[in-house]
Amino acid sequence: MPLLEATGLHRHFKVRGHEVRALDGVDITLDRGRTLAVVGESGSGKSTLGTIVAGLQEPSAGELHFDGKRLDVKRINGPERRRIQMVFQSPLQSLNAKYRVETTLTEPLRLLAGLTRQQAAARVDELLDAVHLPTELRTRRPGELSGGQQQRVAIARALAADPELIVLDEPTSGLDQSIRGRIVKLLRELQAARGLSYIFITHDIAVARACAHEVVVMQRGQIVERGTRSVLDDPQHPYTRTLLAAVPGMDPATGRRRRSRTPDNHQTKES
Amino acid sequence: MTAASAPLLTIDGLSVVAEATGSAILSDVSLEIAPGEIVGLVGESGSGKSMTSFATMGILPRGVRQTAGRFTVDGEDVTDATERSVSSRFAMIFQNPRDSLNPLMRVGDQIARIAALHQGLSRAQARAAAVEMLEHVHISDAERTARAYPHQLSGGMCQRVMIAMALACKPRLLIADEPTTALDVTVQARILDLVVELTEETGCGVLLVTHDLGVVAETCDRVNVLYRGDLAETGPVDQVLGSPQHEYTRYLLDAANELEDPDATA
Repeated sequence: MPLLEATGLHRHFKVRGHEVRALDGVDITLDRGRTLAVVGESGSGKSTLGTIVAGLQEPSAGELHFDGKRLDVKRINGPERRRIQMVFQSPLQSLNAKYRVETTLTEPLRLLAGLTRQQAAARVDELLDAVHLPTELRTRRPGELSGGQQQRVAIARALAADPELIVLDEPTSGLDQSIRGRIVKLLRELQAARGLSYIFITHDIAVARACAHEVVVMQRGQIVERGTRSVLDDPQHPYTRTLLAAVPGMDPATGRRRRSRTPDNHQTKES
Repeated sequence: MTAASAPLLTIDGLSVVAEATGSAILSDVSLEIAPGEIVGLVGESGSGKSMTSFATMGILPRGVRQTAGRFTVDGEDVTDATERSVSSRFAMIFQNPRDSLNPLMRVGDQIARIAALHQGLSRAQARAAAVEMLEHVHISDAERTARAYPHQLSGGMCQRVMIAMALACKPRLLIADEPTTALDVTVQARILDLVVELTEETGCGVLLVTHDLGVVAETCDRVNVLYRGDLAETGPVDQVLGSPQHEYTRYLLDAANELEDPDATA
């Protein structure tokens, strides 16, 4: 039985009289201990999917089943709030700037895991250790940490609730390439140690390749291609091919892009 | 760089410090850009990439001071020239195009203003020039786009507008500071194509600041690697990325390639 099963998810908005279909009939399944990478460009609906799974917004239509039980899509609270956590792209925006690291981490321990103040305080070092941060950082505020450290705190905060599923929305996108690899490594390590499942939302194909067991490729609110990670090596759908072809390769032999493109390539509407 | 072409811009021994602490942000950075050449400047956050571009443009932020270094354009020392970037025709585009545009002004008017300022055009001429610039950066419905406000345009379109605005000064040097970092990969590919195309067409030099070695590999002729304000390595792209000499360049390449490791999970 899959840990998460979403069927027929729709999310529609009315924008100045026009209906925008951010999600237009999306189905996903995710097994325990696995990572589903959701790949696509801005506006493809990947973050909308993530926030619906995390219970931060409700779908216009569709159902979610978590651990065999139908989820109330309107839930704001409830037991799943602890079991499904989320990590966002920008830790500086998702962490409370006024909170010291220890406050950031004790809050979910107390509110979601139901620990007392003392119990929670005792677990802070353990969480910092899990994300390989020195425990001296517990009294720092987000502004006093590097970007990579901030994202580790955000991951520790998600772990504090002892979740089974973490929705990771572009967790490495704001980071240097060198830090990016370390965060991916940490996430893989935590998954192996704790049996976590991830929905890993990313536009970064290299990151998706490094993390995913399964992949869905989204475009305009729909899944255009799905499969195992091999989708990224042998794409079938034209959009997936376009996406992969656009990633700048590291081979210096390819040299300066003198692809002498046909003029109508330039006319293609962006975004 | 082809050995024959004399450098357009030479930066010699640029040093920049933070006034409050006296700590060095850039130490003795030297680089050259030839006409029509795209020169990469790479490094991690805090390595001094953006400070190099700001110093060149003469727009260092408050609290940061240049302590040494000469800027030479076409063999002429312009270090002490007032409004160096204007007289030398330097233009710059930034990472977040929407934030660099005036949100309250139609984009056509913003381009027209620059065109009027730099080329001494009349209002009507400048407006026509703006539309022409938008066509130049391959915006299909240039007339309509000229009347749009930045929030009505996508990120890629805003960056094209920024490039159009840069072109309106008929630049000899374009400093592009992470111009595609905030954009989707397919849009990034088109913007990079555009930069290459305009470079070849107008013969302007480009200083391309980026943290993405893939972008460097595909776009640049030469590359400079900055590490904590020091120039760690410089040379032709295939040489620097193909057989890096400096430890830090190797580290960056390893980090970029780290994720390519296919044994990852499975």
